[in-house]
Amino acid sequence: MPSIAVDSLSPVTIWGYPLAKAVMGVLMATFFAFILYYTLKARKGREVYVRPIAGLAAMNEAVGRATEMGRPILYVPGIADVSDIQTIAAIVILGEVAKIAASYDTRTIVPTRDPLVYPIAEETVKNAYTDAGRPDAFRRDDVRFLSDDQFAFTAGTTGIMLREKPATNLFMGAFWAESLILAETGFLAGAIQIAGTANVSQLPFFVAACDYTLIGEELYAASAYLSKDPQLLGSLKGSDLAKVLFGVLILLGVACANLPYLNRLLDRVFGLPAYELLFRFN
Amino acid sequence: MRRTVPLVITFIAGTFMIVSFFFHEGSIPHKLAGRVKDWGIIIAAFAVVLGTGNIIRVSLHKARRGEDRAYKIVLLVCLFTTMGLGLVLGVDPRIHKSWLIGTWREGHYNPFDWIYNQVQLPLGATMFSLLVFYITSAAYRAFRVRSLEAGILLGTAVLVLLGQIPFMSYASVGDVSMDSIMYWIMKVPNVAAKRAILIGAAMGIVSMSLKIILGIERSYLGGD
Repeated sequence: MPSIAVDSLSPVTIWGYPLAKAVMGVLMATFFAFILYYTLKARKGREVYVRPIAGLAAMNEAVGRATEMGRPILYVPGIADVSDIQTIAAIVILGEVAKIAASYDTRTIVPTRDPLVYPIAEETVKNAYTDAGRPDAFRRDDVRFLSDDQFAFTAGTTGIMLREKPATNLFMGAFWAESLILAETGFLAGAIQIAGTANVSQLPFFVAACDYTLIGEELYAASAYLSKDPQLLGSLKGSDLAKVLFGVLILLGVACANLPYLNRLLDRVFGLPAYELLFRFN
Repeated sequence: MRRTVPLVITFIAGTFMIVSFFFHEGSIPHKLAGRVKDWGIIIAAFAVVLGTGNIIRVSLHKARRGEDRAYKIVLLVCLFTTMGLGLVLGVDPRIHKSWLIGTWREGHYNPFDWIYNQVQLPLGATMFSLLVFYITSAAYRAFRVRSLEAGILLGTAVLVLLGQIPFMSYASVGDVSMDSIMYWIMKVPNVAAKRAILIGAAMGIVSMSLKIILGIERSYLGGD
């Protein structure tokens, strides 16, 4: 039986170590194990089914439309800095999108807000055009740093939408108040628009103004979906199964906090009722 | 080699940052992790030079080719004026000293601050206020009743909008006041959906981070 220390003020500890961190470590290890197992399984050649995601399925069509119209595509990798995982996901998707655009001989305009994102985006687009066998089609001026001020960046990007008239606008990454300004301007300019963000408060704006929206975790699944890389698809399956496990744990937690019998049981084991244990977990 | 070195650096740095989280505050790994974050800030500061260089290069190219010449000239003039004033007259609003002309008049904005406060801030506020019009046009499209789901959305939105009006707290449907209906919608179904998305996104973040740290996701590095 572990020695669990409980007093009235400090967080719950187990052998002197914060219980919250210990549980987080165990859950993280479980999550990692799931992902690694299915990645290795996929590496051995086992096929993985991924449910169709409308926004990603439309990506080819959206780039194709720009090609037919002889216009560029606009890709905005959010306005967060590079330490935000949404920006990294957006850069990864940019690589795949730029590959499609390069194979169709279409320009990819990438305005950036963070000065550190700019060289990474430039390198990603350049690599994508090279991978697609079209290094000559890459135009350095198409990847631009506009401003690190939120609304100056927004003004610059909407200016690009109205002057260069991209046929397809892709908004992937972290967005805040500028999301609706960008999406509505693109809508008024007649572009087909696909957005993806994990910022919950901005999702309604994108849903209202864009043709397709990737919601939350779909943003992180986009790279696997677009590249069809077996390892990435395997890791996607692993993380989905881990989510099922965590869903069960959440339901169990809800039951513990609400059912008197389970509550009494926890009280006997930990010396605290479930609701108090949960409140003092952090 | 071009891909191996970045992958190794990513693996070491990523693993270290995860492991440091499990150490107590004030421990050596925790302090080292803080130091690594500081490095990130320093690298980001250097990137500003790259970004500024890009603005100047792209604007000059475009102006020379005659593309949006007027805009590009305005941009370059503003950029160099602001940068020049900051470099020559200093940027500290309290001291107002610069290496070139000595002490600026105490108690007044220096020109750099004046440009920021009187030009940039109002322009940003103007862009932000445009949201009013965009919200109206987006809401009009979102609330058109074309399906059952759109109808439910419209009905819910009307209830929430009515609940926001102060005197609606006196109106009621049976025994339930309008503002308590609004409160229930915002606190129960709305928060439930938000939390579902947040939990999914959080797991997506962990999964994405692991894939990058282990080098499973390497498409951002380009081909070999």
